[in-house]
Amino acid sequence: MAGVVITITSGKGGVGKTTTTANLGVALARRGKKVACIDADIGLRNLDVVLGLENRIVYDLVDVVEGRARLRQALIKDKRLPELQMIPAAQTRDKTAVNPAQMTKLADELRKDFDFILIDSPAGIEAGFKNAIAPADRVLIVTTPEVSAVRDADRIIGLVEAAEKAAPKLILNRLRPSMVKRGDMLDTSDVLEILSIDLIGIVPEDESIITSTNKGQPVALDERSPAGAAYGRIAQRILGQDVPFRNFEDNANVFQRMSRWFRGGDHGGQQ
Amino acid sequence: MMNWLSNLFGRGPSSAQIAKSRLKLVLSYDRTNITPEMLSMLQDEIVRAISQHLDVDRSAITISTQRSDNGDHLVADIPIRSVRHGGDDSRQSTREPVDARAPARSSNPAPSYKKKKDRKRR
Repeated sequence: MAGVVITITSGKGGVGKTTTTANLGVALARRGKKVACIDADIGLRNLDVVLGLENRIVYDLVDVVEGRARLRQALIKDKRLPELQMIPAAQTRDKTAVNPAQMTKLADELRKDFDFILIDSPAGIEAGFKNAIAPADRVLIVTTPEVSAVRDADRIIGLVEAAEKAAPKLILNRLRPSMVKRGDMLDTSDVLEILSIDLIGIVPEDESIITSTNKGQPVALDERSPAGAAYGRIAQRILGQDVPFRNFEDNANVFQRMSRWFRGGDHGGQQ
Repeated sequence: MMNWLSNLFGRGPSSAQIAKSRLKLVLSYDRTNITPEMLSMLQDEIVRAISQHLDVDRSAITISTQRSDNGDHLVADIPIRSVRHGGDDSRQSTREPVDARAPARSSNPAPSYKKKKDRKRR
């Protein structure tokens, strides 16, 4: 098996990297793929609670890198999904506890046994981010439709290009269709135009993210919610399927379209 | 509801449009590391160089950074009034020293001059 390493990153914190990593892991595992999720946010461990696996941690990423544990011992199996496993971050260390070469070696080990290795990158552009993208075959950038998140995403895109990785793809997270329709939120076409990047998915704002995270049951375990369904579609696209983008935005009525047209704005999103 | 109505009746751009234009501006500085001051300095130097050969309309010059699929570009739009011919141009501006060795030009100039700069992101 020659697994594919996908790093999920964003620049800005709080835009949904960990939620995205957990749910894409679940959605890929539900489709029969063997998935290992790695929490690379050393010192601010969170992937474990989002996946609901926090009570089962014995060893962590740093234990493996420093030779106190074998890789097998640190991999936590998800009892709900036999295909899904996770390596937690160390909580009492910092980003310098691991270097990019060690991350690459770890990921290369995992490639032998897994179809996908998903790396949850920490926020920022420093050591932790560099560790997270070092082994990446593909990079997914998460942003929300807000100026600060989009600006940081642009910076990260530049850094991913500078690291000579394949062109990253964008997940537009927490889109609120009603605000887009009112002209009070950047729409998908705005963000894509500003960032000059390909889209891989749009996740609408959905309260089930909060309730599912409260319970430690990722929303993608059940793809009936809008966000769960969105993660399912992204997983299919990762698997190379051509899934049309859901149009969350352009239910504008004729007056809204006219008003946009008169203001010289964009004529609605195509996604 | 009132929001789009007020937009329809010309109360100005929506907050999303404001966000988009602010982002475009801030990113053009972020990506190229070109500040507005640098841009104005560049404009002066480009105009000085071009003025040796062409009589350009200084008041209508715009220089900006733009982004397309193949990278970030420095785009200078410089309207031309006429072509200078060697050293015997009576309309020659007194504001700029013109190098007498500059070769004469007698082509049919395009209405504007565009200079492209390769993408340079930090």
